[in-house]
Amino acid sequence: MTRRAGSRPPAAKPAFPVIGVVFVGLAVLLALAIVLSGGDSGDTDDDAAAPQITGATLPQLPDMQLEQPEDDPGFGLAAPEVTGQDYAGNTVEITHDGIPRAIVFLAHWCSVCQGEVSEIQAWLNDGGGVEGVELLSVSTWATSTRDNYPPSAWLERENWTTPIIADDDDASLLTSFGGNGVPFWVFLDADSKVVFRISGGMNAATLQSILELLRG
Amino acid sequence: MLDFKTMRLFFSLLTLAANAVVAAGLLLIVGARVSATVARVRDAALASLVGWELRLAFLVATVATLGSLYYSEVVNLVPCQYCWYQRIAMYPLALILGVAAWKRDHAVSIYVVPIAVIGTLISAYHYFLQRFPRFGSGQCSTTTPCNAAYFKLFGFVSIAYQAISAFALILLLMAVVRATSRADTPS
Repeated sequence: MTRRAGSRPPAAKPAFPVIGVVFVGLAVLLALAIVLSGGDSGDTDDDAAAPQITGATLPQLPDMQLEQPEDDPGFGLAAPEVTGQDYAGNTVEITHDGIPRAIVFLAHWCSVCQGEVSEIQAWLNDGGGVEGVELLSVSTWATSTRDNYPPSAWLERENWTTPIIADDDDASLLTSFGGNGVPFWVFLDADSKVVFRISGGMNAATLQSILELLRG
Repeated sequence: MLDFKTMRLFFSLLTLAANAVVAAGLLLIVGARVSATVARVRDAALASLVGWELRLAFLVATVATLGSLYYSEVVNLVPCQYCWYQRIAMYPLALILGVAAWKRDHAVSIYVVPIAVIGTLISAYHYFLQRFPRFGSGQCSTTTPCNAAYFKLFGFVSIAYQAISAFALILLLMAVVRATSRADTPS
């Protein structure tokens, strides 16, 4: 006869103190965690002044896939002007100065952005880019509770050579350009009007061809 | 002292310990089929666990549940869609296994195994998205992206990985429950 569910068979005496081993193990791991996390992690908060943004906020890029760049509600609208800082305290600007620009918004914790930075930097190292078209990056949505913090250390590790503007804690810069995810690319013509926006990773060959279109 | 850094490291060390136990368990299960010595070790391990299998499974599910609540309610890490699916699988296990451990109801494995298998599959897919984010939407939502891990300790232990490990350990303990039940059942 098999034992029925719900019946209470006599508990066998264990060969060794299982519960003792479990709780000692838990205590040892907790002590180990306290000791190992007690030291200085080397993490420091990035300190850059919040960007100053002037001009109208661009409408948010729709979530759906757009058939044509003209389907973007931000197409043809003038981008906001920005005066911000990189993590070294240098001023970096987005102004209506007649220079076409490609701006990529990145977050340190986003794995897609991590791949994007490596790929774009490798492309730049191989001579990628177009004379007369400025490539800019915005480090946005930084938070110490997420992976790969701080962003300055990440970008330094990647030898990121593209100028960076640090966004504020509310991601105001990302919002003002209509971004709802990262990586987020915004391409501006010489009149600083939106030619194309896309949310998601972009390969180097596509980027190169868009930059060539921007140069005209 | 018990700040986020410490707690996530503690849960990650628990995860590695769970991985070691599952690996050892799988080695014993497979090895016992080909080696009498390993079979004796397996039998000794099973004998030492008699009466504790359900309690240990309850402990694993409870720690996983409390860990998940710690991340969301104490540290305010917002759970993404797949995190919620994993919670749907894990939270009831803590209750079901608690009652089963109290009642010593070994038949509970028939309910626990399907839930834990589903939880493992969801966690595995979530972890896959974190490792290969371009397979998902190809972008990270700025609110609660499932393809961006809050952390990856030791380069690979994310919250999704912790969930896979907990589900796997519960499944191993359910195998122990079934094995000890069989041994306990007169033919």
